[in-house]
Amino acid sequence: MKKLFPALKMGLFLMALLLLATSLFPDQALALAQAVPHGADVLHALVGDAAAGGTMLGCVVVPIAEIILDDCPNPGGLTDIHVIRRRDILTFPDPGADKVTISTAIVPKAGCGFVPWEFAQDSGEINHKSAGDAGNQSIAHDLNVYVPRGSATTDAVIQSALNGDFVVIGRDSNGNLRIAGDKRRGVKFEHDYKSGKKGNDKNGTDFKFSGEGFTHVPFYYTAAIPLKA
Amino acid sequence: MLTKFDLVNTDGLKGLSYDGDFVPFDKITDELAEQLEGKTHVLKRKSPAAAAKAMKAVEAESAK
Repeated sequence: MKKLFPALKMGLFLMALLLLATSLFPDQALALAQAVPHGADVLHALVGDAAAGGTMLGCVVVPIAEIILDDCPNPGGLTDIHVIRRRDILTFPDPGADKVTISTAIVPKAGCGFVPWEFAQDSGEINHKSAGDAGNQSIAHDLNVYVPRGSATTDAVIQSALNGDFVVIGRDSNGNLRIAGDKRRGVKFEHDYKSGKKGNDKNGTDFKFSGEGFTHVPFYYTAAIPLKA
Repeated sequence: MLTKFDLVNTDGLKGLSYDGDFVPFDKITDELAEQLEGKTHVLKRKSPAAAAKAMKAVEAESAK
């Protein structure tokens, strides 16, 4: 309380001074008040141009829509993959205006379609990175999954997949479909089976689809995937 | 049953994967087909006359 009264006194004194100055110099007071942003100007300074749908705080402009999109769970990993040989694709659509999203259907040749490949939970990933020296850079795609156990069924797939040229669609945990490979360049298949040595070692096969020399990141795909019977 | 669309180009295919779900061809409804239009090569919109005829057939079937 002892500190409060001096502060109140000082506040009253400053207010009285302000009122006195306003009454003595009304024109200057009006000009000063108009120079300070107020009303709609304050709102504009804080949230930016409403028409542009953005906020402006501390000189950083972030669209409101982007904040809303970011303000949600963002799990990693893949939940499913679908595979087709590139030669079995009849029509591979071009991406839309953003150069990275394909929203019309990939059409397989008659009798062909994508097949789902099962894999262990939390073992699927799709990655892309720049590759090549400066002046010759391109983008590399790779998609990896782990299939537990060594089995005749899995090994039969491996036998028929080596030297294949594939296009693979992986769904990430956020629901986005990403395509490794494109109509001109597929991804190759590699495997690495390990039985393990001890009872609690992993016994299974790492599958890898990879390719280099792409001119784009793995496309986003928003259409339906036709499934082979 | 589809009344507004025909299923085409389904040879060798068993269905679609859409929005994370497996959709057999016999489970595609008109509502889903509207969503899938342009996103698959297996659906072709019927002419208005053919759609009206199919709708009448469905209504007659349900009235039995």
